[in-house]
Amino acid sequence: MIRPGTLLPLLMVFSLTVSAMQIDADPRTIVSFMDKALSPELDILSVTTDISLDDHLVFQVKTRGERERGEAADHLLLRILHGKVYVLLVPINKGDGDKVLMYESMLQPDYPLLPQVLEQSHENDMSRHLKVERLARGVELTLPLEWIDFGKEFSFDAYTVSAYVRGNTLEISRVHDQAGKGRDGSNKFSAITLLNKLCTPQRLRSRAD
Amino acid sequence: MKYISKIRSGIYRKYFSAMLAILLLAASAGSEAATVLLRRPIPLLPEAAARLNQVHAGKDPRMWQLVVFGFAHCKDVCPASLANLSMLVKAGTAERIRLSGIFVTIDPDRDTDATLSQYIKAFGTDLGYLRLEGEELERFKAAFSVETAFYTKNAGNMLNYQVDHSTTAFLIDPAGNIRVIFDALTDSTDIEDLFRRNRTLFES
Repeated sequence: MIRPGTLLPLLMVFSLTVSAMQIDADPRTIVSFMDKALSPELDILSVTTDISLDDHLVFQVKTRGERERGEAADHLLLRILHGKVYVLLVPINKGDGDKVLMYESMLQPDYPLLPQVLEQSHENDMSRHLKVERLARGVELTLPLEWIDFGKEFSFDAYTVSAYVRGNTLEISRVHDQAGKGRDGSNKFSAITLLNKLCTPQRLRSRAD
Repeated sequence: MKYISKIRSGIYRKYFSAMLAILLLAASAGSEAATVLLRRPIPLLPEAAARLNQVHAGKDPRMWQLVVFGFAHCKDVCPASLANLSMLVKAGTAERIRLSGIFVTIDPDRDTDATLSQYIKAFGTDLGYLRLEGEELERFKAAFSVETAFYTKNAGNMLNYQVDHSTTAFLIDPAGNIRVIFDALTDSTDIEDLFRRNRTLFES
């Protein structure tokens, strides 16, 4: 007979094993390693993607903590590789408002996936449609699906950085944390994958129950 | 007592981690579908386009094609997708759009030609099927970025296994370009609307 006290840890072990397998297998999600050496608001826990009901691509970046005021150079940065390197920049300080800035750089072989210097994005249409929403310990960035070229590959990662805006240029002086650290930005996939939803009869049945 | 409360808080933290992982899993599995009319059509590789054309060989070459992926042993997702596909072919025909529907099996080991032929008939006579194997199937799936996962399929179990697959469906123009991407389960009404309201797309 299994005692109630031992059942729960066992279930936990099994659920964690299954979850880890599934999360790693899904290129649309990055689960980040916790780093207690960092301030909680600079420590990224996860990045997830979703498609909203009004056809927008939603990135949700969660951190271990949040703060109202502090070092103004600290930013949350979402890097998208999609033909070019695109960067979406949001201040870590909630008190600095819900503004999001977009920068870009040419994608070149042998260049770092996150360049130190980027120029303000010329895609004005896209910049206008960008939205950011503060969540509890995180942010949600929304961009229109129309922006995506589904014939191209897609990749994303999130960082916390010290960065300075000088005119039309963004200079990144320090990376505090990277969601996909140690995975060398290898989650490159076809943009169509963002729309793919995996289904199985078993999953549907359990939903109906 | 302090020691016990420390252990308890440690256990709660562990439970919290487990719950967080489960929640993340649920979030990643529950993404919404979307119908996307592509601004820039995606040309299919000639091999994939030729395979699709073979299904309706001898028929009007100016046909649009609706393509869904699945497997005949699937109990409810694929039948629902195919019922929608059949309904859409009829809706397209009613709008005088030359349209055919193709079911591509991702499980050729169980889906023989005889099985597929019988299976397709249950959804009407206006659908065709495509059965590819091995590397050819992998290349065809890659052309559409179709994801599949087989569970408990092994040398000792080649009959009773589960399959996960993407329910994304594709509308292909007569030149072999992907023009619309949608969810075969949830977005069929969007495609019906497209047939009625976006006539210029089908005249292009």
